[in-house]
Amino acid sequence: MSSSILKKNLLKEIDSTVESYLGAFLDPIGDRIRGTFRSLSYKVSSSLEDDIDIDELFAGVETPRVDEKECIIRVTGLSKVFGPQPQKGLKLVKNGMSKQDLRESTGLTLGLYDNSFDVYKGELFVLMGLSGSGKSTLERCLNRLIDPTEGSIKIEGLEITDLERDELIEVRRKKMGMVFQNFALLPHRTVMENVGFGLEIQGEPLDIYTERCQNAIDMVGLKGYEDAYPSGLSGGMKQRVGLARALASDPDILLMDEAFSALDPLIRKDMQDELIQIRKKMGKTIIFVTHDLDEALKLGDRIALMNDGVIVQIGTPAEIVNNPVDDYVNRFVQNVNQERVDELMRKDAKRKADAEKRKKLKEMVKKKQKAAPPMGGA
Amino acid sequence: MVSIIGSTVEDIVDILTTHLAFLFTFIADLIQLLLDAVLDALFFFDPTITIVIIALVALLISRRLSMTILTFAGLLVIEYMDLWTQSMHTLGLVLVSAFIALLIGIPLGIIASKYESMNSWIKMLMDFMQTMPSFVYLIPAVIFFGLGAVPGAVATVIFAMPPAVRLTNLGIRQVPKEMNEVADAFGCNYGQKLFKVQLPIAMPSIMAGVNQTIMLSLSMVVIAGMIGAAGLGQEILRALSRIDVGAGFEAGLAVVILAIMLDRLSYSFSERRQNH
Repeated sequence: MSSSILKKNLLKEIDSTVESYLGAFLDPIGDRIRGTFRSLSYKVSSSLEDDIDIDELFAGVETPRVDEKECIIRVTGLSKVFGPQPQKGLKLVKNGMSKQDLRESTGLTLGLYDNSFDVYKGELFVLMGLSGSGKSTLERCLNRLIDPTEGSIKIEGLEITDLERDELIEVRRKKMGMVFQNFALLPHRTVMENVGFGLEIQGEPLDIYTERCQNAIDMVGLKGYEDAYPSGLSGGMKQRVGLARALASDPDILLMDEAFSALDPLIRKDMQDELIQIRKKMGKTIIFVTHDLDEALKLGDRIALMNDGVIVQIGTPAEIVNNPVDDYVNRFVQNVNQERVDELMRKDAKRKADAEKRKKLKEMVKKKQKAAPPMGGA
Repeated sequence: MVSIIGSTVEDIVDILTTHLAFLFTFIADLIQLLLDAVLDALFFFDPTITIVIIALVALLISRRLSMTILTFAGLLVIEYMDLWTQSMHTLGLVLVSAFIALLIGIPLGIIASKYESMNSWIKMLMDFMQTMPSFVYLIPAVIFFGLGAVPGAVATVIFAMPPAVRLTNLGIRQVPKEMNEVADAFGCNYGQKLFKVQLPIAMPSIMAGVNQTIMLSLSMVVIAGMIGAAGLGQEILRALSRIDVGAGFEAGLAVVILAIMLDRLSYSFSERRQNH
């Protein structure tokens, strides 16, 4: 194949892909994006031997990208027993003792039992359940604020449960940020100093510190409040600070523990929308703990429903709402109205279609790259 | 005479005085050095100038005019009653004793909050130190350190330390769980967690301990007058022996003025720190 035919084919394909995305956009915006894409696709086709980052092409256009092939967190067989001699308690549970009996006979509390799941890169993974179902415990195992009794947690292939203290500190500093339910801002520090807490701990030089703090503060819309103290801020603003603090050290993974639960409904909705925007801009993997089904359905790419320390169902919002596996899940989802279900299914379908298209496009570019003879530098 | 308990303690004190004399001399010299420095500073200027300086320090710490005026007027009254020298000796002894008590007490409180095994021992020791009648400390203090201000300071340190230990311990234990999680989740090491999160949040409690330590020091230095520590304590004892109501009242009033001054100042210092 000559390179001009290649170019034409690729252009056509990209154009049609872009076209299908633009249904939802207003025309002027669509035109602008189409323009950007055209120029990009020319670039693509004129230098096929270059490494083309499709992800970059799509940044900000489609639903946040989730790469199902890239599993960033893999949890296998995770269990936690609280109390002295947890191993012994876990053995009893494995031999069939119930949570209730374990507590009565030994005083030990079963927090988590045999949980396994994968979280994909870029995904917003919701852990949902009633209070006491173990969702926060599970999240705290991921950065070992709570040490699991048994099981494996792999983050980008690194076994978290085996880490020494120093290594663990390093992982916590670079890889993970956390947002807390009751904000947990340090009262003796200004907004700026709170946001910069992680960077300060890492000993970043002042110029990087200031720049990253400012970026994070701008990102959550708190410009102008840098020198305010937490006591003078409203709940919503406090949690913005909490979010900025987690974002400032630019971690790959955000752990959000009931992050919006303490906010009143209107502010909560704002924060949810804000989070969706931030995801579009930054593409983080987020583990989001909540007890609020609406929140889970609105934000989650996938939801894991927990009951009594065990994940009972994992699925996309539409799957959970349409096919609850048992009574417990059913009790959660029975009040979701048909309109919402339809909306979720549309969202789901769109997400799947997006992923499919992206995959196709990626494969196509790859194929072309292979087929095309090297043509020198671009 | 005394039972086996008392005689054992006597034996221990004997052994300590004969074998650890160099240590006690060293400690005594250290305390004397500190005390001399503080007293030199307090007596460096004419009383009137010192009064103005202390009032300005009060303004700086409290940022309140009322506090400044109160300090100024109180010190003037002391000067008017002709008790300036004695009061400054007492103040110096309080400052040095409280400083040493905090220097030992706060780290001890931190240790107690971190290690459960140490906690029970430290608690027991503090109970002992606080409930043993304070006059009793004076006896070994005199044996180890002789007469004068130094044994007074030592007895005062022992008597005034417990609140600093207890309230530091309590303050750190009461740091909300979420705050500790923040420290861990963002990758603090041991020292960072303590100095950047736990101590600042425990500060109100610690400052209450500082305040209590200063007040207890003041109440003890009067008793220390009995073993020859110069100051208002001796003035009061003299008035007592002569049944001199007027002199007794004046010396007592000077103690009250110092107490109010120190209490309000240390309190407003802690209050200002937690305003945010």
